[in-house]
Amino acid sequence: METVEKKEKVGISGYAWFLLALLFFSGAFRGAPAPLNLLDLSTYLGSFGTIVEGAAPGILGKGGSGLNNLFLTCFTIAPGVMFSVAFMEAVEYYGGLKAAGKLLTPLLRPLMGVPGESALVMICNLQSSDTSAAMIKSLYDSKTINAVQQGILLAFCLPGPALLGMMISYGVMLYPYLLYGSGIVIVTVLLSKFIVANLMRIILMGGGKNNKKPAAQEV
Amino acid sequence: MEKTVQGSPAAQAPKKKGFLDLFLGGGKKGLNMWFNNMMPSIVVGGLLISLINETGLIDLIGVVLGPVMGIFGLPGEAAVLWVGSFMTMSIGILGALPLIESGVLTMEHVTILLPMIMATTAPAKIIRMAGVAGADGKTLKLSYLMMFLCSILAGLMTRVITLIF
Repeated sequence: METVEKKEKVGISGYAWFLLALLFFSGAFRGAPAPLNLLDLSTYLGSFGTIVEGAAPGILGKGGSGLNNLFLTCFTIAPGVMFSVAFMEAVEYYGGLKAAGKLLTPLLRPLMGVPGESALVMICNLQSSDTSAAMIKSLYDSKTINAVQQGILLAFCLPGPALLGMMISYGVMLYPYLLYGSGIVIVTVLLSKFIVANLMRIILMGGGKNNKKPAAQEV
Repeated sequence: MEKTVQGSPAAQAPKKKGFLDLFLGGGKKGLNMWFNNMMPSIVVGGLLISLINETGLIDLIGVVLGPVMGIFGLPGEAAVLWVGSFMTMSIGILGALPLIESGVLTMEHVTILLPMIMATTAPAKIIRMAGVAGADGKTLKLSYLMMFLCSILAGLMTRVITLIF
């Protein structure tokens, strides 16, 4: 599976869609002037009106609590979830995620000590938890990565898996209360994932001799 | 069910999708996700949050863990959300909403807290993912620790960012 994916070509449109997704979900153009605001998710979502003066926007009202209030809150995020998932479908279909993987490939060996083939695992991890885990397994089985590299990738994939999916579903509820665009959340979590993956790299390489699994060639 | 005529546009359709079809399909997928996964999750989240609130447990946790959360610049009450999201993310997100409304959490707090919540993973998911990836017990334990560290790191990072800007 990995050899097939490695050879797949990424066109200009793939990179364009990747860039578009970056701008769209980062909130970089939130509240920007007229033509630029087309590049931001919140422009399309708009806002709910208020029913009476002083009430929270939409059907939420003010002062609700418990499950009733949660139900209405959850109700109000449906448009955002539908739109974001639809947008991500388009990004994936037009090769945006593959382009991201391609950009990441040459950086992986120096940054995390794993081969470039692992780029797809990490990109896939943004969207899904189990699929990325399965990809680690197949890379290990095909001897593309060794036991140490398997651990490094797992340490990257385990914290906050399906980050994008979680952000466009659960995270959406807290978007209105963020000081900056939602990009700040994605960037800090991704950076933290990189750091802990490298911590795992140091730990596993240090205890490499005690490792029961035979560590193949280089690390 | 009728058989599709060979060579008709419908027979070749799956190869290439129009943009509108694609977008509409994505919208349906999103609706499905919202309806089947998110909506039901508020039942569990609502139960736990109400229990924590009504028993006064939230005040106790707030006092005990206040100093710890202070490292992140967060009030003690936020500890409930953070610890809760290690069980299921909906506790952290849904539980934050009433705290925002009552003014306990400010926008700055939410900005720090959301990355911390986003970096968490439910134990069941961790065990499943490690199993699928074929990791051994030692790697699983280390990965769990790393997930915890990742959440702390993300919080500290945003804390620094909010202090600078």
